[in-house]
Amino acid sequence: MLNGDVIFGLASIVFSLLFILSSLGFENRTTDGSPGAGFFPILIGSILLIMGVAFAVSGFKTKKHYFEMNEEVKKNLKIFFLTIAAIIGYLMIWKWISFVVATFAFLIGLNYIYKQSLKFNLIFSSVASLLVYVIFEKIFHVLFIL
Amino acid sequence: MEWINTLLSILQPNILIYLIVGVAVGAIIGALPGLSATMGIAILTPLTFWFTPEQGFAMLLGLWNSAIWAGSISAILINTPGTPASIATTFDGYNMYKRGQGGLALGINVVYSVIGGLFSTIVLIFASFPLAKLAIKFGPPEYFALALFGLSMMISVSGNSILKGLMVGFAGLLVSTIGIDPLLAMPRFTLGNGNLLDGISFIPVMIGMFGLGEVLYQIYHNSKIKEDEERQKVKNLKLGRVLINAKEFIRLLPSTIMSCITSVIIGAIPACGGDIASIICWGQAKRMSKKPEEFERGSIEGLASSCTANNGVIGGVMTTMLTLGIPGDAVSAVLIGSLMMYGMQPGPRLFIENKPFIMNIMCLMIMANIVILILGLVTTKLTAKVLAVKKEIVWASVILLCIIGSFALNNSLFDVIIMIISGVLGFFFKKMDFAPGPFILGLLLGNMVESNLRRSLIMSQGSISIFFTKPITLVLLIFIMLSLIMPIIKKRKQKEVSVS
Repeated sequence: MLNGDVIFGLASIVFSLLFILSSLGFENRTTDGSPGAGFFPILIGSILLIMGVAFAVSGFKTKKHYFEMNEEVKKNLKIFFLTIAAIIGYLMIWKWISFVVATFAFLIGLNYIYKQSLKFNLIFSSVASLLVYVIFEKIFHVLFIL
Repeated sequence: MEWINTLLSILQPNILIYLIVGVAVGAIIGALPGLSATMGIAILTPLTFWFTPEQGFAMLLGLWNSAIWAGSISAILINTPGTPASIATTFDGYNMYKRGQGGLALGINVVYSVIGGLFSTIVLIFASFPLAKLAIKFGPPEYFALALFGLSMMISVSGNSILKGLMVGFAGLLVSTIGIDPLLAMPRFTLGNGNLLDGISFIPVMIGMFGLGEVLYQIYHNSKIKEDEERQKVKNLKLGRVLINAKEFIRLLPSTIMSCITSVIIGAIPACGGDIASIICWGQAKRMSKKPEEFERGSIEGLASSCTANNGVIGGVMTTMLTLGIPGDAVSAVLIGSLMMYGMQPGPRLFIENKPFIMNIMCLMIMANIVILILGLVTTKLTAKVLAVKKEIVWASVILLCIIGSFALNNSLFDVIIMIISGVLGFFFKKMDFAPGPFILGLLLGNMVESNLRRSLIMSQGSISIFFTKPITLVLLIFIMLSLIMPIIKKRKQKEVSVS
């Protein structure tokens, strides 16, 4: 019953309702009658709400699925989620250790996930971390401090 | 005299070096399938924050022109377009490579991309100033209709479903309302979070959707077998001669002129990008040709016309972008963001307040094409080796650049979080056949649409007749309706034909 289009349609309905309900607290008209802060969000949100309903209804009829599972996709999904976990991990460790070390660890982790050889991994991670440090911190004076 | 002085000021080492770097980076990005000019510009834009506007735009324009040219390299060598604009190049380029004329195909790609690029830049130089003088008379109703027109064109050409395009476009418009109200300066939807007072920053969203989102999509669909097959294709065949001879050049002249003119006009229409232009020009060249049977079998006319059109649209896109502030495609949408980063608002005012900078941009476009010609011909056979780069290296590099780039914009972790969320969203958009272009445009144009709509209603004291009594506005509104209705009618007719 719940396929990709229905889920997206429902998500659009929730998304637009959030904006519409929040906008009800704003003025829709100012004292001189001109459109207020809530006017545009309510207008666009209402149109999106109607489209979301139409899309969800058409999704019930077409029953289109976008995520078909096969062996190759299952293997790729593991790498997919590990990549996202690595990115989140990188942002977390960056707060506690120096940027260059965090970047090096991140790249080591990513190349490990992508099954690169140890030699390549070490060389690539070292060179890339160093390049990023030199270009961004030394030349562009970006402070990578969280 | 003014133009000569501008050209001489561009020919300084401290600007030329950025142009050459941009061209080189663009060549790598364009040649690698899965990386696009949009992604390259989105990722590089934060880096240019530390440069002067001339240096930054030298790099970005070099990258853009070069990525479009280089997108045809993989189209010719492995039948996979490096950028969407190179789709038509696969029709004849790959067949030329299979019969041992790969070098000639690559050479035609360089020469005719430059011809298209130079022609469209000349049009930009002559057309943009008069157009800006006309656009300066535009008021809020005209700007409202123009912004909506740009959005509707993007919606109508993106993907298979108008409803999907509309939903994504309107979602972008809704997200653009987060932050400070443009007229009343009161916070909206900020949830008490100071980071949201400035709204959702456009550049991290671009980097996420086109950078991280694309990488996630490639990871999800990675196929080791297909990758090994493609690598094998590049290794096996010889390239042969690179340059065309005089006889071939004369034979290609009529279709080249046609492609130049057609592509510039198409480029000037918002949302009609290189992919549409190159397919239309390829079709026109086939109709005009004395040897139409050669098309799709390795016709040099077919290849030359599509390569000319690819880069020929750029001047048209720039004309609309600079004079009206309306992005013609995703790349120009990012460039508008870059201009704003330097404190400049594209539109007719830019031609008055920053005329020297506008002239610099035009001269940079000319120089970018000259650099591509030299670099492209010298490294033609070398650029084929770019395709041997492993996907995993590209993924790791792009992910790192996305994170670093989005942080470096404002030294803000919040921007990185926005980038990551946009990346995941971009993956789902791509997987479920939603084009991200309308979302980006909605986000970028939302402020322009809202503020001009409300100003117009203030001017007319709440009456919507203001949009139907101004001639330019009325014409644009009719175009908007047509751009949304025509694809639906066309689809219905196609269904009727296939059923019968």
